[in-house]
Amino acid sequence: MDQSKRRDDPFKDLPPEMSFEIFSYLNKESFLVTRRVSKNWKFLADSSRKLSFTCDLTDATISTVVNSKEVISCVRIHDFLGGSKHVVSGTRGIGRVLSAADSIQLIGRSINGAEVGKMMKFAAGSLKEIWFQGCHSSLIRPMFNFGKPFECLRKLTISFNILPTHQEAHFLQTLSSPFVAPQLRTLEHLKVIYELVEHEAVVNYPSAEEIFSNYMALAHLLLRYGTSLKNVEIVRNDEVRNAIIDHVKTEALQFSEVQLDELQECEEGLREIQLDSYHTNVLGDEGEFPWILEMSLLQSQNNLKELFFENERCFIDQIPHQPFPFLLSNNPEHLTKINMSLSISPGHEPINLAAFSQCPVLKVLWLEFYLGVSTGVQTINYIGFENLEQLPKTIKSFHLKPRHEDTYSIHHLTRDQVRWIAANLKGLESIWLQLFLTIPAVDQVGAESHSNFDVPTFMELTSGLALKDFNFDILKVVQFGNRLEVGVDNNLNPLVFMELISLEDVREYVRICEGKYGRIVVNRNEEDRVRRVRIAVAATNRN
Amino acid sequence: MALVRVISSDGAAFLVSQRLAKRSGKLKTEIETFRKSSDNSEAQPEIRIVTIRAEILRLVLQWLQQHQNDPVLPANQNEQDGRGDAEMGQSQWDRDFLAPMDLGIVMELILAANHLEVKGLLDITCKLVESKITGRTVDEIRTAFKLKSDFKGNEEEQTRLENRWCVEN
Repeated sequence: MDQSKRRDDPFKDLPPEMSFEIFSYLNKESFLVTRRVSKNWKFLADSSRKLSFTCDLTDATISTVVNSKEVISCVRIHDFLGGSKHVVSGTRGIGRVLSAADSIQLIGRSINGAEVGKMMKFAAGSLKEIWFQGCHSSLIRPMFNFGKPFECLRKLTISFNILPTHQEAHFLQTLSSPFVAPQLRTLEHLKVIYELVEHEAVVNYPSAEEIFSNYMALAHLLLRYGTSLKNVEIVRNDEVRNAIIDHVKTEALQFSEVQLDELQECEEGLREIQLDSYHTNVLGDEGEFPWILEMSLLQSQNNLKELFFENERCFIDQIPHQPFPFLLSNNPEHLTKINMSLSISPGHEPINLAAFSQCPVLKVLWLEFYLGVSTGVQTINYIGFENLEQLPKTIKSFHLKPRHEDTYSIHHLTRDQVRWIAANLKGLESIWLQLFLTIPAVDQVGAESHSNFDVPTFMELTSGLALKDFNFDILKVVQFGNRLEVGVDNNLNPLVFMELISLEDVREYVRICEGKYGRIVVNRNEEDRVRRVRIAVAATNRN
Repeated sequence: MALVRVISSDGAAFLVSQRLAKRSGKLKTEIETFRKSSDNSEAQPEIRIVTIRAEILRLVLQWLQQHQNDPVLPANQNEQDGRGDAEMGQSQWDRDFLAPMDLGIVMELILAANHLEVKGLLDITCKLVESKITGRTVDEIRTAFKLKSDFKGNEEEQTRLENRWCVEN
């Protein structure tokens, strides 16, 4: 190291991981002191670890987290922790801790609402976010009903880790009750999460009525806070969706006149809600769930800026006139961010991307297509695209990302399309593509290569001045005339095992990247190792 | 005795035994790579370390010489099974070795120990820097590290407030 180049702060010459190594020796008090030395030290300290420790205040167990990125203080209140028999009880001390926190996370069914209510008196004026995680509805009313509004509360997150039953519906109903709603006048962001770890482990499935009542409770919650809401997230993981779709006989539901009126009322009410951002993992299509109202909410949007949409059961190729849900909103031209995950049928037509030309200010476009059903022997599902050149040139982040669980679907851009991206999306900051290295079959030597990229295109792709991160999944395929096969073994084994092919080709591309970004880690994790090599670069590696 | 020539970024050559050099993970790999690619098994490997200058390389080799009979610590030894070795394994010789060094040299030594994969040296040098932080006030740390506060407005006060409730409780 040239000593003359050394700057004042010795930590500035160290790679971050070395600074983290040093900070990792520090005890809590010293660690906190480092945050006050200088901006660089504070940055390094906050990046090095999440400071998490437990305070035993009277008989409560509280763990505090100083979040490394946002300088927020999140206080977690557990009902029981580490086998303790103590129920959280409210004290002035805990209230004081809460008053210094931006957010609290309440975890577990046995938290005593009355006790938490005592603490909330101290925290109501400053809390920005509350997260209920697997809590009981008895917690809510005393927590909010002490006559003091939550003047800063912007975000409410409710997560359930079981299939929705009447109890969960009651939780949502209580949150939209007249006792609670006036305290949450500033609520802008509502996030409701349903997730299961493994639906095969479920013993008792809820009835269709329970699913319906839960759904209506969710709709009423949206209606209650509709005037202040800007962001709505309804998240269901695959396990929840599969469990409900496969095990709950929703088609047997018979609606009364009252319920039908209620449905209509909700649908009309949801049309009044105007959001900036909408995130939904739709439960199913309208054929299976005619009372699904989430599409009504989408259809009513006039000024939506961000859309995250996932639908496992709706095949875009079966709705050719309106394959992309963002078209359902009234003014897709305001959209700046679209993240969609949609299923397709085997043997589908190329996906037409022309619709995105209606989004002239689009900055982020992440698309993920996957096989909604599998039929017989798995073969590689090439997903082709057309009218890619109609994508807005304002795009800064473009991902055609393979779905983790569906390793048989490949987003297959042609060489011309990859060239178009390199030549036209000049402001790209982030990109994720699947690139093909083709080798001709024995009887095809000398034929034109169908690799969808070559060295000049690759260099152009990675030369964008703004590019901060990229992921390229490089697949080796064998070419039979115009036909490509990932792997060749009479289709019995559609995969090329990476152990059997030379990585020299890949190395060349790694070298190109390393010329610009420094050391590159080539990722071949267990899931992917059989048929692709991923070159991934994050901004931190950039020189 | 098999030897290896290790050359620093500023061109100084150090002739050391391969046995000693192999206590550095990086040098060990280089020596083995040289052996595999060389037709002459008697040839003397020459390893150029372009990121470490002579003064620092000499210190690393000096430390290796002193600790040549110590067990080699795995490079990925983590907090649970490795921590404490830095303190427990620090001999009087280590303390005397590090004592005259200014902070800049120690920082370079950390970089060198990391690059050459010398876990024991990395541990004691990191611990030394940590010891210059632990138990000190903000001002004392700034003095020790010759730093000035670059917080603006109420940024420092804000950080102090973020810390306060954690410390008090």
